[in-house]
Amino acid sequence: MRLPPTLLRGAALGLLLCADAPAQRLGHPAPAIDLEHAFQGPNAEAITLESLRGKLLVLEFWATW
Amino acid sequence: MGAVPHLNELAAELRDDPVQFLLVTDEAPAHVESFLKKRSLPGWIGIDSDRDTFDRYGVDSIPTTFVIDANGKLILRSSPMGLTADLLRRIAERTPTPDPPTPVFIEPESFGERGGWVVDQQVMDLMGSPYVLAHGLGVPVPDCVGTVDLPGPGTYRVWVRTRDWVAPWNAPGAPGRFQVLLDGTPLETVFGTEGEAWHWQDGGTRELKAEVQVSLHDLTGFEGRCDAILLCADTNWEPPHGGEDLARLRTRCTSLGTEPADGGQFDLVVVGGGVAGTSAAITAARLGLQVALIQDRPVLGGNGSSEVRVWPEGHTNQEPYPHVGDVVSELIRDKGPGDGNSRDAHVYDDERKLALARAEPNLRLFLNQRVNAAESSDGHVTAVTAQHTSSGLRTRITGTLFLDSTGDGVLGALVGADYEITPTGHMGASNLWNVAATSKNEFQLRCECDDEGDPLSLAFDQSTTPAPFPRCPWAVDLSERNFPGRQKKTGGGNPLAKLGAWFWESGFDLDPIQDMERVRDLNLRAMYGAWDTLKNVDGQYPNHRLKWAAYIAGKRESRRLMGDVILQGDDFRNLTRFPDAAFPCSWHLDLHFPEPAYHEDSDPFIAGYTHSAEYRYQGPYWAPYRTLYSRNIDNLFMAGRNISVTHEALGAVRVMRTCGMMGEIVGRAASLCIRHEATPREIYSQHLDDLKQLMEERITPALR
Repeated sequence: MRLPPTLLRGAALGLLLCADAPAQRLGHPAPAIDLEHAFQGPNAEAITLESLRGKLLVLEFWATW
Repeated sequence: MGAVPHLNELAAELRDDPVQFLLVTDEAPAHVESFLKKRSLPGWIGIDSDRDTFDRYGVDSIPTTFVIDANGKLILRSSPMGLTADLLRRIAERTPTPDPPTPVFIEPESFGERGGWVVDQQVMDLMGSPYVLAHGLGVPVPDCVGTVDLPGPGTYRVWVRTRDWVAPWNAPGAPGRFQVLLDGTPLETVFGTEGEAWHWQDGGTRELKAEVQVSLHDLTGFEGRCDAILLCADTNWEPPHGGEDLARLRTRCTSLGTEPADGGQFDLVVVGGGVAGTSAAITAARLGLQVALIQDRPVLGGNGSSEVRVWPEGHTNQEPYPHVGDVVSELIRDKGPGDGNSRDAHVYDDERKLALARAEPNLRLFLNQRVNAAESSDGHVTAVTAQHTSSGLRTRITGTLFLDSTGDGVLGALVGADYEITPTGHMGASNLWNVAATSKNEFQLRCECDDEGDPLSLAFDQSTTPAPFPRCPWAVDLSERNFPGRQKKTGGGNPLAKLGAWFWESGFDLDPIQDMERVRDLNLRAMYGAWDTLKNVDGQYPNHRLKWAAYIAGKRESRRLMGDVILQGDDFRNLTRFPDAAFPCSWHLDLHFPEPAYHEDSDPFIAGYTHSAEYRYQGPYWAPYRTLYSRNIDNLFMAGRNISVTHEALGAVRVMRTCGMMGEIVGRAASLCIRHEATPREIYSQHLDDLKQLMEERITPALR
């Protein structure tokens, strides 16, 4: 994908833009989300990319440690 | 978990934005649950015990953040600390909303065969496009027909953009009724029957082949109107009825979405081809400038064209500059005994004006194109973009100097020129009309002539057969009211001459830009009401019919662009002398207002005019050049009724021969601007003697 100029300016702010591992290429449909449990929101099986259409999703992979 | 405070701050800042946080971990649910009792985390928390989501996203270190747009596209990968609310908002703004269905967007003004439907561009700046009008004076007009390619055969829902044009007055009867025929078969819905505002009227669904013939079939001859037709394969989808969403749809689905063609670079770009603009363009071209003349109608002359039929008044060729007015005198013949308002088309001699403009090798004519966009910076215009009134194709035209002779200050308003407008109590607009004992009206004849390729040869047969006219319950009810032309027992003159004359005027308290369709429509309702009364209440004129009526309004007052001098009414009373006296005014301070004798309701349609001593004409008055350029846009001239005058002074300068001479002065001044690389203002401050010298010279056609 050709990044729009505002995103390139975002990169200049210090973002690490990742290139192209096949399953998670930028500018392409995001890989599916499949969770086993969930808190503070819908049930795990209800959390899908389809159900999040129309919203910007910030997806954070984290740990308690 | 060092990023937690940052994520919480982000989430708090984006509380009201369409952003969802989802925090995914592979740890045990019970552990996570107890963690959440101690620490607050934003958004939803997910457990990916089998790590398949981790793997699909290629996560090899914690923490890692992805941003996915509203369409499910992966936009970026980052560390959480790299995200800012501003960045997320910018991504959200750039994300196109999911594409709505792509309907087939049909603009009937682009149809090859418009039959008797006419293209009305008067409010296209508000609507984004012209519409077609069944202006039949009570006789249904021939069909407007085009052929349209569809993406494929199938079931389509039909939406027709129209309105009930008398709904603003809560008038009954929906006179503008029409049908839409697909491959010759009408839809069940009758259109133009509902809604005060322009909207998409649902025409139901229809099985169609991949190519379909679309026809607008007028049922009444009473001003039915259609902006556009949509054929949509998604039969559940309802198109946006207005605003930005409609504008986007129109741009996406029509030629408006294509890049403008390059119309070229000119020394002077004249926007508006009335008498003022045409005079300016011809003068400048003869003085060697490369000139573009852009006009949104098929003819030149504006209010003085056969489309509006106001006879151009005022006197040209006055001392001490008898050559100021030469070009106007070429464009418009001296007033003869048969000349005046609302006469037959040939009186206004459109062909004469077109021929003069076309004869100039330096002049490029852009007809049927309306300027509705402009580029400027730091008070300087660089380009305009004009939209063709039937194809919708756009053309970008660049220039060194620009002239706003639109009458409405259209270009000035686009580029931020200072202007004034009198919101209420200003002069109105007229739609002149006439009646005669003829077998057909001009519009029927024109349709027949169009088929034969000769629209200008109009001839009338005198009719001796009755010409019935329907009752018009939706028109202004004049059955119990007096109006000019309604014959009383006493009184002189030909009453027919009073019908459709200049004083049939309305819109005094309405906005000359925003409310213009309503103003024109009130003029039409008054005309139909008067004719209904004369024919069906008074039983007069059994063999007469409405012969002609202007659907293009003759406007008198709109935006006035402000120059270095704002001419006042008192300048005429006191005969103020200006060093830059440039064009002779030869009309009294002629201001129109609702005529009290007929003004019985809130929608006056008959005007009176100022004729007491304080408004009288005292002989030619030379008005200053500084009324002809903008005070804050450094390369913008004005000519015509949108020059720098007060409401009161407009009463004297607005007659068309005077407007034409303004154009001649602008043409001369523009040539000096190019010669000296000067601004219009500098022609006054540094080159006024040159301008006066040019005013003494005859402006002759270039040697060919």
